Amino acid sequence: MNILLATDGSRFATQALEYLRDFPFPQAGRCHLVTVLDKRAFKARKKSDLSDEDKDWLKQAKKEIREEGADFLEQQARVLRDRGREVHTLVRTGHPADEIVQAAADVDADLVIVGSHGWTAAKRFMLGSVSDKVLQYAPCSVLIVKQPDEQTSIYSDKVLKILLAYDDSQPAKRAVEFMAALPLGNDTHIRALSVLPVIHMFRQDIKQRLSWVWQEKKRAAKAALKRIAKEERWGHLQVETELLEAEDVSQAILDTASRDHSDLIVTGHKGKGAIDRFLLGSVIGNISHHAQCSVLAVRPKK
Amino acid sequence: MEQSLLQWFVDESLLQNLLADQPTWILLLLIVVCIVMLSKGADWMVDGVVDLATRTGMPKIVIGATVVSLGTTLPEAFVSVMAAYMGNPGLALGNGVGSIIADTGLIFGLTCVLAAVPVNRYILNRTGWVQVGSATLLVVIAVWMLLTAAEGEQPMLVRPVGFFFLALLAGYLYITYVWARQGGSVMLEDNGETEELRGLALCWLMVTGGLILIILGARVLVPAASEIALRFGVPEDVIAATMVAFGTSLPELMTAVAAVRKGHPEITVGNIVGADVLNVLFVIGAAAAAAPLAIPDNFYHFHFPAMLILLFSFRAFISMNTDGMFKRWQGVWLLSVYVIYIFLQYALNIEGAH
Repeated sequence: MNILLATDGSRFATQALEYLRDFPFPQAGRCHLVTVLDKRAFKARKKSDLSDEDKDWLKQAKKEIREEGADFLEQQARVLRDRGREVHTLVRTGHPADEIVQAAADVDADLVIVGSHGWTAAKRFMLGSVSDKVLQYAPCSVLIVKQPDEQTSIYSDKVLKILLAYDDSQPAKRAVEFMAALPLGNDTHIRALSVLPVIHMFRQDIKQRLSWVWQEKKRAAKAALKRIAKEERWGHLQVETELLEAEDVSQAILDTASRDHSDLIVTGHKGKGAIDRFLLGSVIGNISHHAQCSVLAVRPKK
Repeated sequence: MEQSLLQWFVDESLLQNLLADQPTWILLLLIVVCIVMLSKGADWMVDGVVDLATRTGMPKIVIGATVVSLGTTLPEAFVSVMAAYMGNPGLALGNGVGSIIADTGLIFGLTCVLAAVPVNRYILNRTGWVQVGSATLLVVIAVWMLLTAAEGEQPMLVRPVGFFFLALLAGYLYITYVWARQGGSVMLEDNGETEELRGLALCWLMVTGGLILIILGARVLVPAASEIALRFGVPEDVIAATMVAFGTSLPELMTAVAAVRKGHPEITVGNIVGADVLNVLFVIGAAAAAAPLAIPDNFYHFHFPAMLILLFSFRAFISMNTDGMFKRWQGVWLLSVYVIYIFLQYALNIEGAH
């Protein structure tokens, strides 16, 4: 598995690095560490405003920052090399999210890992979030690492608790495949969760639950959950299942994650268009914004 | 704080859980409060519309068909879009079609039986065509989808159809405005009394405030009444077919009652005609635009025909009534069709549209 880890030197990026170090990813494949020097920081009003001396200074400064970035990456790479991984480093200049997405395509990554700053909605709106954009545009799966500050390892407990949000769609099936391919240890608990959306407004839920379409749906969802839990490729792992009915699917997933103290939420990425996202919101977007733990969105490589 | 407020707005299950924990007498009290809210809201709105009509010279029927109808169909549109988005096409399409049937058959039928309703032919002749036309268009598209659907596949109202309806909705609102401006000067309504009129701003405030009260009242009344009914052991399917189904038509009903009581039945006519158009173009249009709606079989052989019978009768009555009044027997006809429709739905055990 080719993994690209984006770092900006913040403690959130360090958490992401620790995650890459400790999580049972397959040993085979390369790791790439990338850092992006934000081009906007170097923008002068106009090139011609600068004297030659200034230009030289600017050039020098850029070079130094690049070198510093490269040194920093080497340092970080050592952590991973100690664990026997093949690590490459990469310094790029430009817009962070664009460059991360581009780098993922360039190195043929299967997974991009980014840290999350845990910004509030207002700040996200004003500044735009790099992890959001990477989640939306990356050509492969994305892992957004989030850890409570007091937590020292990637597990909150002795075991790794994974919540798999499953709706029997193609993307969800891919998420199962992705997880089953990981060398997960015996200390892993997986819970597969399906949430059926109901509408409570005007008590339409009474009407909805009575209809045969709904009964059919519920039966199908139960069967699908049972099927994936029984699949052989999980090997020795126990997979628990749960079926919920809720008005807000993402909220139900988040509630279950916090009830179980899950360490990771895994879900398939549906790749909705911009209009759909604007009109309807995206479950994965909501989860990645509000989850207390890390979130893995699985999508096929482009 | 603002986040929790927003949650109350979006997540109805919070309200439902809160109601489920209350003792019965509080629920009964709440129902009374809601009914008061509904009737007060409807009163204010009707008063506002009447003064608004006199001030602007726009016929009441036009305001009924636009402002009032938009307001009363809003909850339906919201529920239907949510249902479509959540993959429940039966609810979205059923709410639209079911509301047309309930509005035209039950509410307008009842109004005609209880009060003398004038036919404003100048307006109704044209908007009446839009009303029948939009529903017919829906059925024609649905039938076309049935004919072109591949073997074993369910016919769908695809998203382009939804966007097409929304475009038609914009056109409809514009053309009503144009007609109203033409018609407004021709026929100022005979409001003999020269009462003091309220200011324009106050009129609008009363109309919107009334609408908000109506919508809020209906939104709390339905779950509270359903909860009570559940406690008294009423079977769920009965509740679904009565209270829940009725919930989205409640605003139209309250408007009709207030309008008739205050002697302005034109508002009801406008509201019904407008609501029928909006149920197709706005409710079903927006829902189909959000997600493709599958059309269940029983719509073709039961719900669509019932809707068309009611609408074409209504349309025929407009042309027949050359003396400018709806007849009582016409109301009885609409009402009977509605009752037979409901009865058959039970007798044949057909999945409800509404």
